[in-house]
Parts: sequence; structure tokens; C-alpha cells
Amino acid sequence: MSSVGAFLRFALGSIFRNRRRALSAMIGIILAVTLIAGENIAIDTTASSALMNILEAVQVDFMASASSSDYVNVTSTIAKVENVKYVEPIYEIGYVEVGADVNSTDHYANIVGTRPEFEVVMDKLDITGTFTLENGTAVLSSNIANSVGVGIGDTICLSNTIRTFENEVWRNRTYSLNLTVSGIVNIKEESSYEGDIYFWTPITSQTVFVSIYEASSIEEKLNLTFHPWVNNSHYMSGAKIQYFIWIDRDKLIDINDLEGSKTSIRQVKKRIELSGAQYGVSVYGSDLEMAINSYSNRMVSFRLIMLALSLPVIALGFYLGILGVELGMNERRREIGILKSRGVSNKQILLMLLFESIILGVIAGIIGLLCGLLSSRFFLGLGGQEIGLFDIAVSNASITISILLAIILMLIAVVRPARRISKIPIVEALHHYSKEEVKKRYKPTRDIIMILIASLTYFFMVTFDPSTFFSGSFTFLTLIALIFFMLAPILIPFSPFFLIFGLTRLLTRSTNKIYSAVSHATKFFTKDMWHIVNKNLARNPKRASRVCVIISLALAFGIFTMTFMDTSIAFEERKIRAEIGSDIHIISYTENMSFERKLSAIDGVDMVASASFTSCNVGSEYASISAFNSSAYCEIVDLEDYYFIEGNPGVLTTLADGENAVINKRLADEYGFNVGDMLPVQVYHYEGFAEGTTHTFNYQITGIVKYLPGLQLWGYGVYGDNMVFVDLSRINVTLFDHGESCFLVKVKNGFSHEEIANDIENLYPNEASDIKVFQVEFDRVKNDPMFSAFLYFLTVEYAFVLLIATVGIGLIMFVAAREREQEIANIIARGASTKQIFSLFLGEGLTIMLIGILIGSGTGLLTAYAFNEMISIDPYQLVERTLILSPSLALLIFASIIALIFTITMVSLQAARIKLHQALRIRGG
Amino acid sequence: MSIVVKDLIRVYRTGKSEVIALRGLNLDVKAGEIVAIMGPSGCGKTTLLNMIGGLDRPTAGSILVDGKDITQFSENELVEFRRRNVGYVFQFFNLVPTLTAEENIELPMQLAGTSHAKRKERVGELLDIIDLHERKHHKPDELSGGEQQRVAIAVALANDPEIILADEPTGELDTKTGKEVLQLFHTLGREFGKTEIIVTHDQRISPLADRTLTIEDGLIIK
Repeated sequence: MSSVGAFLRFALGSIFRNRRRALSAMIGIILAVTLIAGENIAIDTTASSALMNILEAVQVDFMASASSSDYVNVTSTIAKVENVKYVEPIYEIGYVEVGADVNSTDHYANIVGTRPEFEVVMDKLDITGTFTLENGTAVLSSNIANSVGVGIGDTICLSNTIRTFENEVWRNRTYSLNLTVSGIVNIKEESSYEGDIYFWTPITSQTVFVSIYEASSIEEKLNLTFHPWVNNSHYMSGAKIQYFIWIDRDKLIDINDLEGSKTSIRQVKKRIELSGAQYGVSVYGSDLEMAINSYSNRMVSFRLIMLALSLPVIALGFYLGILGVELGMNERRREIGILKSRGVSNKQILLMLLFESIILGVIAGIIGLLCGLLSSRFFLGLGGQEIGLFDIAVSNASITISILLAIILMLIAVVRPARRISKIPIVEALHHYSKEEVKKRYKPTRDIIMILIASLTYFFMVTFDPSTFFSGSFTFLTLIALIFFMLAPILIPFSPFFLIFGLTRLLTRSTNKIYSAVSHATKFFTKDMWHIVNKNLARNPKRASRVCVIISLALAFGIFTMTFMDTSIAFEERKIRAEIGSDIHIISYTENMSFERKLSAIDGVDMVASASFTSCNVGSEYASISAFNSSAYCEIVDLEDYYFIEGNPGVLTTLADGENAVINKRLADEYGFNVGDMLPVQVYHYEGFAEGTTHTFNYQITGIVKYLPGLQLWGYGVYGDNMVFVDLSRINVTLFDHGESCFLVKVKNGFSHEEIANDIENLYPNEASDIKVFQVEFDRVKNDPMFSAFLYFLTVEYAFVLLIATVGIGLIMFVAAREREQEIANIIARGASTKQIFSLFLGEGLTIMLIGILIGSGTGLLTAYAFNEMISIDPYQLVERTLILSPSLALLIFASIIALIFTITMVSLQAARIKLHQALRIRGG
Repeated sequence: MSIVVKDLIRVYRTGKSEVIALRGLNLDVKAGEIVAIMGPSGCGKTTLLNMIGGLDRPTAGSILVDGKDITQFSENELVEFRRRNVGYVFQFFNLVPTLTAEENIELPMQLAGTSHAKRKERVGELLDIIDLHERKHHKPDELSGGEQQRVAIAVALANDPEIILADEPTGELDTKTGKEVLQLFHTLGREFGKTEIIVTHDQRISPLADRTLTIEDGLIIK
């Protein structure tokens, strides 16, 4: 074989002659590529709708202003620019009071003047009545109409009160104007966020539309150009005109050429400014360009993030690929020996095998891509997208990534075994098996090092606190710690792999005791022959070890991600509990006791606890003091012990006598306070415009807490503050100048928390300024699209990981059975039944599976614990992040075991059904 | 146990090609008889042995062992037949490489569900017969060819079958060892009354066997 063409032909022939072997080599890579292709195709498919969603959030493409007040000509000039679809001038008349009449103008609205054509371009407007905007009429937003209590045909009064200082006296003058309501528009959104970009919505839910043609007259009647603070000057009329511009998006935006699209948009912008130069037109606020930038950046980041998250599958698929390749290489020893005996050199053998791997890589990439098309349906669930069966999109990026990845993985998998087998002596290769291969001495050094590195990394993750460790003197230990600290970002992701590889290989290859110990568990199936299982595993520990590694990796990944997600959800729940404290949390600027009584009187409310806040001093340090109803609080709030540094929830009952206080850890650390110490607190009370007075209170500290849940307010109660908690009953809350309070509400069983919150909002809209419902907040976190998508993706990824594990164990067992065909036939010839052969293989498979599960579970849990500890090192963290082992974890392990048992069973059945005469007919007949 | 083979036909089909290994072979072996079968490579000797041993099913014909047609046996009945009635000795020994000599001999009894005590007793007896007590803890790759074949014979005898089938038992052995093995077969037939069919190229079997038959092209010619 001297020519490249001959190599290619032989390589291709080799692949197609033994398709089973080729498939074994490719299967791991195919599965890995399927996942990558699937997620990328899902990204491609949703890209178009994702972009459309983003662009829909952009209500206005450009905003422009002009120095000229001639809005008619400015509008027509802009409209003539190529690719400008619509342009509408918006006259911002002013922010005024509105009401049904001049005496009841206690709502505010933004008055804008526009043309009737505005209705056409803002196609989100949902109008009842007409938008003809005749003189003397107005179209209201539904919010304004409801607040004021007017309908179509009614009169709405606009008024503007100006306060002027005349003759050394402040005087109010009110300017008003009545208009007839001709239409009501239902404006859906005040603003919109798309990812990290805020898209400004010029039309808010507090808008009143009038005709642009009478805008200046309205402005004059309401004296809205008067500027009281600048020498009683007036705004220049016309300075408040903006131009909303819409371009032809279909012509200018091409999803496959985003850079080109951005250029086109910029060009239109420039042309608008050029055309309107005579009017001083300036274009600003290009939300469209921002949207496209955001989208393309997001797509790139998203692909990279998905790739990073898919690394476990890629790693496992790659490992399976290596196994498949090695098994195939072992089968080809004789073939390689024969080729070499016919004069093929080592280098030629190597090149031939590498050629094969490239071809296999291409085939694996194509198959993976096709399978990815099918699997992309699962990933489309990530965004909750409803996509038609034939609407799948595949970009060049997806095709390239899939095939390149497959080729690279295949090449890397083949290189080492190909080099090894190309150098094998001819005589050894021509034997059926090589004793040297089977009896290779195992060296544990590398595995011990991997275990050591992993263990040290875990140790550091759990125990290491850089602030305390590095504050001491510099020693050799500090140096080691520093090195580990710097290497941690690299070591942490790899530690589970090191631990699994090292531990599995050490346990399964350095000694046979583990097989002996674990195969006892399979005695139910194997009965007296369990020792044969033992010995069969021990004779090829390398193979058994590899299967264990695959199972361990798969299970460890599943356990880690499931535990991490469950722990994170529980942590978020605790955080929300810490913030809200009870079922409903209300912030109010009203007097405590009366509002507390009002809340208690609502049907469905079980109990209410109130708290007031103000700032204070403890010595020279600023602090916040919260006076709260401690007995009601203890009934309402589920206080967990981890809130308490010193003491327990019971210490709150000591506050009722008014002599005691509980402080937070931050304040305690500041002064070194302990329980039993005296705490002097100064509260400064402002008395109108006169000088205030300082009130000093002396409390005895009976408890130290991280925080008390629910007792927070804007500006107060943030964990960074020093906090003092006292009972409400023995302190005069009129000293608490700011009058800010919060109310914790417990809802009776059987009542909807959200409905109670709505009742409170409707009944007391002025008193209840911020209402939070625990269940609503928690549901928002649980149902957060990003979080849900992440969880969904991890679930799909675990399914792939499990698939790879089951395929891996099936493949290796299948090959092992083939190699031992004659031996099996011999045992059958001695009187073994199919059931007994099946039991033998089942016993072997189960033994390996059990070892893999033990190591994988242990590593997964340890990794989850260590990671959890590592991210929980903040001593001032409000809530504990406790590792949660939910029932779904048991379900995951159970499902994984079932899948593995199913595969082992299938392969064992296959192994037991050999054709005796074929297996035994080695020679002659 | 007597063995009567009538019109035995075995056709192997591999892809498009067809090989007729046996073409209506007839054979009659009395209980306790030692029969040697010879013939060139590919004549159907091993195929015949596989049929009689219940390792393969014929395409046509019948095999009566003690009057029972084993070609009509169900799979479970065949398993029992192989377990209880037949002891197979292979050319390449076919011992389980991870088990010691003693464990290899014990294996068929374990498969048959024999109690531990009885197994140990029987292993002792068989090791006496093959004279290999001192090597019982060795694995096959630590034994010589002759020792492996003796172990293989003991394995075949483990469940005390009435029929011994040996496929070229001396094929991998030197002259001296081969002679010892053949002598062992002779002893088994005469002293223990086993019915033996030995397929071999080894001419030294003739004086030790009750009959020597020749197979050619799937039929017994003499």
C-alpha cells in the first residue's frame, strides 16, 4: 500500500467490512455529537423567533429631535428618506393633574399631542372609541380612565397648579382645561426588559392623547411652558417635540447577516440626519440596533455556555469512544499482524488507522447531526417554543461544530491505541490474544496522585477561608495553600473526574478483593457460581474498571446536578422567606396600630405583626433599630435556628419586657458584644423644623442573630447594616421619624395568599405601598425562564449521560461475551442451561454496576457537599445554604439502576444464546 | 446407554453457500462399547459428535439414546441430557482459564446442583482416577498439555455420565502423553462401563476400541 488512494480504499473497506466494530468505535462520539448538534439546532431554530421576540419589544426604531418647531415639514422630510416606513411627531405637552372635574384632579397623567395616524403605527394600541383626535377631545389610557372614573363621552379635566412667590407670599394658581373623552386605549406595558436591555416605551399607562394641532394651545391654556425655578421663564414651545421613526425591517434586517443589518440601520440613521440637517434633526435612541447587538452577543454567549454545560457529555462520550476504539483495535491484532507479515510498515499501519479515524469522524459527525435534528425537539422545550415539525433550522455553524467535533474526538481517541498497535511485534499479533496485554502490571502511582489532588481540592473547598488563612504569618503551609488557591479554578471542575478515575482504578485494579466483596451481593442470581463471577472480573480488571468509571461518572454527574438544583431552589426559598418572613409582607408609611387593626379585620387574615424602623447610633456607629411586635412575630414567622448566632428563637420572648434587645452579628462583631452585655442606643428625633432631641435607651443583649426574617425595609435591614431589634410595646414609635413600617401577615388555611394581597391592595392602596406574597415570589423564582431552561437542559443532558453509560456497559459486556464465546460454549457443553449462563453474565454486570454506583454516588454527594460549602463561606450570609437530598435524587438513582440493569440483562441474554456448534467448531469437523 | 443414529442429515447454510456435513448417516453403538471414528478433515466427524452430544440439532434423522429420540427433546431436556448423560472431551481441552483444576472439575456438578459435600467427594474420586491430586490447585495455564487433558476428562466424568464423547483428545498431545490418555479412555470403558465414541486421527486407538469406523463425505463407509 504505497499510495494515498490505496490507504483510503483499504480504510474505507475496513470500515464497511466490519460495521459492528466501526459502530462500537463511533457510538460514544455519535452520542456526544448528537447532544451538541441538538442544542445548536435548537438554538438555530429558535434564533429567528428569538430575534422577532426581541424586535417586537422594540416599539419605536428611532427617536429623533429637531431644533425647528415646524414639525409638519420635519415629519415629511424624514418620511421621504429611503427605507423609512413611518414617522410620527409626538408633542410632549406636560405632566398634569387629571380628574373628572377641577376639584377632583388627584391623579397625574402625561399629555402628549399626536396625529390620528399614530394609531396605525402603534399597532399594539387596543382602542375603544375613536382615535380621530378632534379638537377639544382626548383619548385616555385605560388606567387613567379607570382611576378618574370617566368613560367615552365624559369630560376629563386637565389642570396645572403653579406655585409662585409673590409679595413675599407663596401663591398657588391653577390652570385647567376640559376635554371630551373620545376614546380609551388599553396600553399593555409600561416598559419592557429583554434580557439585559431596557426598551423604552414612550407611551405609558398614564398617558392622555390630544391632537398635535392643538397642542400648543393646550400648553398655553395650562401654562405648561412656565418654568418657576429659572427666573419665571418659559420653555420654548416646540422644544418638546420628538419624532418616532419606524424603518422597513423586512428589507433591512437579515437574520443570517446581522452585521450587514446593523450597517444598514446605521446608514438609514445617517440619511435621516442628513436629510433633516436644515431642521437640525438629530437621531438618538436606536433601540433597534441595540436589540440586534444584544441578540447576536446573546447567541454567541449562549452557544458557548451550552457547549460548556455539555462538557460532561462530551467527556463521557469521548471516553466511550476511546473504549470502543481500543476494543476494536484488540480485535484487529491478527489483521494487523497479517498486514505487517505481508510487508506493511509501522508508519503505514498508523497512517491507515488515522485515515480510518477521520472517515469514522465524518460519519459520526453526520450521524450525530441527523440524530441531533431529532433530539433538537427536546431542546426546543427549553424556550417553551412551539415549532412546527418542518420548521427546524440548521446553520452552517451547527454543521461545522458537529462534524469538526466528531473528527477531533475520533482522532484523539484513536491516536494512542493506533500508535501502540502499529508497533506490536508480528508474532505476538498473530496469536489469538497477548498474555502481555492481559497480564500488564498495574501501577497505582498515577491513581494515588489523582486521588490525592482531588482530596486536597475537596478539603480546601470545604474548610478553606482565605480571609482567615492568609491573615496569619506566611509559612510553608501558607505557600501550599496559596498554590492550591490559585489552581482551584482549574482543579475544582476536574476533581470529580480525578477522584472517580483514581479511586475506581485503584479499587478495581490493585486488588481483586472488591470483586469478591461486591459479587457476594449477586449471589441471589449466581448461587454457587458467584466465585466464577469474581474470577472472571478479576482476569480482566482493566475492562471492569472502565465500565465502573463510565457508570461512576454518569451517576456522579446526575447526583451533583440534581442535588445542586434542589439545594439552590431550597436556598432561594429560604432567601425569600428571610426577606418576606411570613405569607405576605407589606411596607407602609402609615401609623402602625391602626393599619395593623385594619389588616387583621380582613377576611382570611389570621395574624399580623408590625415593625417600625429608624436609624440610631450605637456609640459612634450608625445602626438601624427595629421595634416590632415580638410575640405576634414569633407566632407568624417560622424561625429556624440558623438565624441565631447566640441563643435560639426563644430569646425573642425576652424582648417583651422592654429591657432587652437582640442585635445582629455585624454589630456584635463591630464592638465584640456578647449576650449579657449592655447596649446603649441613641435615637435622634426631629421635631418639625426645630432642633431634634436625642433619646437614649439602654438594653441588655439577650441574643445575637444573623438577621430576623421579614424585618427589612428600603434602606434599612439590609444585611450590611448594624441592626438592633427591640419590642414595640415598650418604645414610643413616634420617635421613629420616618414613619416607615412593615407588616407581616399570616393567612388562614384555605385562603389564597394572592387574593388576600389583592384585597389589601384594593382596600388600602395608599397605606400599602409595597406588597410581597411569599408564594408568588417563590413561584417566580421556580418558574424563572432561565432557571427552568437550565434545569430542563440538565435533565436532558443527564438522559444523554445515562444513555452513554448504558451503551458503554452494553458494548463492553458484548465484546467480552464474544471473546469468551468458546468458553461459554464449553460451559454449556458441560450442562449449563441458558439461565445459568445468563446468571453468570448478569452477576458480572451487576457486580461492576454496584461498584460503579457506590463510587459514583459517593463522589457525586461529596462533590455536591464540597461545592455547597465552598459557595457558602460568607459569614454574614443571611440564610444557610443547606445541602438538600430530595426524593427526586432517589428516583434518579433508581431510574439509572433500572436502565443499567436493563442493558446488562439484554447483553446477558444475548451472551447466553450462542450457537454451540459455531462456537465449538474451531477446527475441522 | 446405547446410541442409535438413523438417517442423520446435517446441512449448514452460510449466506448463499450450503455445506452438507452429514448425508443420512446410520450408526449403532451398544451400551458400554468403545467406538473410534476416523476420517479426513471435513468429513463430518465433529458434526456427528455434536449431534450425539446434544450440542447441535440435525437437519433430518433421529438419534436414539437408550430408546429416546434426543432430536425431539426440548431445550430444557437437552440441557438435562448434556448435564447428566454426556461427558464431552474437546481437542483443545476447553477448560475455564480462571478456575483451578479442582474448580474446573467441580463446575459441571455445580451446574447440576449437586451438594457441596457430594461435590468434594466426587472431585476426590476423579482426581484419583486421573492421578492429579498434587496439581489440583493449579490453573490450566500452569498445567502441561497432558495434565490439562486429564483434567478435561475428569470434567467430562464429573456428573458420572453414561456416554463419553471425545473429539480428537490426543490431537494436541505428544506421543507418550497421548498414549496415556488413550489408556485412560480404555479404562473408563472397561472398568466403568461407559459408552465411548472417540473421534481421532490417532491410529493407536484401534487396538483399544471395540470398533473403528471411518466416515467419508458425511457417511460411514466402514
